Amino acid sequence: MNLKHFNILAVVQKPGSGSTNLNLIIIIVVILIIVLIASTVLSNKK
Amino acid sequence: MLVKNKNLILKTLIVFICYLFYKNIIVYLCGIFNLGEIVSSFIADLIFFLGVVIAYKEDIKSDFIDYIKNYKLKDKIFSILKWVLIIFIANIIMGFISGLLFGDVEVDENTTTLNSLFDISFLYTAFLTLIFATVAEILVFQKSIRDVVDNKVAFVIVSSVIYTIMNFVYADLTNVHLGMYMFMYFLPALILSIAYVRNKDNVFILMFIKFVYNLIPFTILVLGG
Repeated sequence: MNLKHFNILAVVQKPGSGSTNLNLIIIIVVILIIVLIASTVLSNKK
Repeated sequence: MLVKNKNLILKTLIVFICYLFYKNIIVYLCGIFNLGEIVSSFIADLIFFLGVVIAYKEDIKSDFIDYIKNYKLKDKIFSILKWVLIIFIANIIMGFISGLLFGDVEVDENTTTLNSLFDISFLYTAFLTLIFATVAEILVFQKSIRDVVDNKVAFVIVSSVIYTIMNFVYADLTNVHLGMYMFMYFLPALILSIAYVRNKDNVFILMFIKFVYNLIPFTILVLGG
C-alpha cells in the first residue's frame, strides 16, 4: 500500500509555475459565476 | 432573506477570487524581500488560512457548539470513522481498477509535488496537509459553495468538480492518465461533500473526517511510502 492508492487531499498551488493552466482557472470562475447566477435567480423566485 | 443571500454570494465570490490568486500575489510580494520559495509559500498559505477562518469564524463556532452539544462521543467517533472508511475503500477500489486498466501507473503531479515538498520541509508539508487542507479547503470548497447552493445534489456535484479541477490547475494536462487521476480526486471529494450534507452541513465534522483521512497518506509519506 502506498501513495498510488492514497491521494493526500490537499491542493498544492505552485505560484509562477510554467505549467499553470489559466484555462482551468477560467473554467472554475465560469462554473462559479453560473452557480452564483443560478442561486441568485432561484432566490429571487422565492 | 434576499439581502442575506446576496451577501453570501458576494462572500463566496470574494473567497474564491482570493483563493485563486492569493498565492501568486503574496509570493510575488515576498520575492521583493528575497524570501525563499518555501517561506513565501508558507506565509501566503498562513495569511489565506487566517483570513478564511476569520471570514467564517461565526459558522465554525456555531458548528463546534452543535458538534459538542448534539453528538454523543460514540456517534462522533463512529461518524468520522465511517466516512474515512468509505473514502478509504473507494480509494482501494479505484487503485485496484486503475491497476487492472493501466498497470503500474505513476502517482499524479499533485502528489509528486507534495512528495518533493516533504523532502524540503516536513513542517510545511504537515501544515499544508493536516491543517490548511482540513480547515481552509473545507471552508472554500464545501462551506462557501454550500452557502450559495441550496440544492444538495447540485452542491455535491459543483463542489466536487471545482475541487477536482483545482488539483490539476498546476499539472501537466497532456498526461495520458489524466482522466484516471481526476477521478481519483473526484471520488473522495464527492464522498466528502456527501458527508457534509448528511451531517447537517456541520463543517466541524467534515474537518475531522478530512484530517483523519489525510493522516493516513501523510503517515505513509513519513514512513517513506
